[in-house]
Amino acid sequence: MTKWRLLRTGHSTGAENMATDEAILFHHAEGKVPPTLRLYGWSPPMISIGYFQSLADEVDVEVCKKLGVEVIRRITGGGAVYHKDEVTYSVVASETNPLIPKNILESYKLICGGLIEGLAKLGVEATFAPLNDIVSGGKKISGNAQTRRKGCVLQHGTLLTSVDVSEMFSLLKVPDEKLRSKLIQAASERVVGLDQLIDDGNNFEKVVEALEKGFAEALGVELEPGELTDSEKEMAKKLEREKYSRKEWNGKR
Amino acid sequence: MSEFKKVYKVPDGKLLKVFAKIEDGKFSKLAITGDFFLHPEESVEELELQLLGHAPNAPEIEKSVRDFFASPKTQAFGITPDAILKVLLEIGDELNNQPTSKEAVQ
Repeated sequence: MTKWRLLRTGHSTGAENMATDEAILFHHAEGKVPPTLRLYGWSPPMISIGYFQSLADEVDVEVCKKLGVEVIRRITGGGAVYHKDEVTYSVVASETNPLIPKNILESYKLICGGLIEGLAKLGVEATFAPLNDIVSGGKKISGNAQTRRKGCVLQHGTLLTSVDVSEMFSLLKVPDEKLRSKLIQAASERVVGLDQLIDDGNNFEKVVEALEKGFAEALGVELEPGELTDSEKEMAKKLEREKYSRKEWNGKR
Repeated sequence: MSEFKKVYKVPDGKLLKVFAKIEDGKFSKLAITGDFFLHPEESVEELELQLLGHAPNAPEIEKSVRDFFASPKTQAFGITPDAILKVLLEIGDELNNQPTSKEAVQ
């Protein structure tokens, strides 16, 4: 069976997390590391915005500053996410990898299958909702985003283990203040955290273990626990410092 | 100079937000933003640059947008050429309906 590298990197800052995903992508493109599944979390809580989003239009920068919540632009498209109680994954593989469908929608479906299988192990039924969501009982439990660069696929996404919609909305801009409470209400009806579905759903380690099994099954690979290489760590540090901590990148749109 | 912000929910797609500045009837700044997906991502900046210096209803605008999406290297999800053109034309309509003697900021 094909072997992929499994990285459990625990909780890191937003800049470190996004820099690490990009460093893995770069190293896999150079053929220096195997295809990789990384499972991780965020500490302290922060916001990521999609590549194409306007930072100032999506995020209440003043409130974030006051509360010390960092805002980071991803290299992937999609929407703004408040990362707090969740397990995040990233998958990096070559576009020529026979396991990865050329078609982008199909590849989302395959990789999201890892989460769906993982959720099944936890007793939660969930389905893929194209393009990039996973829903359980009609509510979104996972958002995902993919980019293709340097001949590689990077897909990362989040599995919500607990959600506080009002906290999330306090950090995001809303089109009309008068509608804020309505939006919060609507979002609570649309989004669900794992802790609302199962006992002990907000248990990071337990969810990580389930996702490892889920991804191995969905991708049909053997996951071998590994570490970031020194070169990956070095590049991640550099990207963290020179890209993801800078307003030139985070505020570029 | 006039500034515009236009928000449009792409049918069956994502939320498109366009920020534009118009000087002398032509785009002097343009940002096509939103929660959509476009591969390769950086190409959106090339498209924005191509549109600068043209009036919202200039034929070059429609050609650039359509050519961009028709290019085999572009893959788009949740955003369409029609959505972008609709928003840019709306900006043009608003511009034409503005009193010319005053600066209007939306």
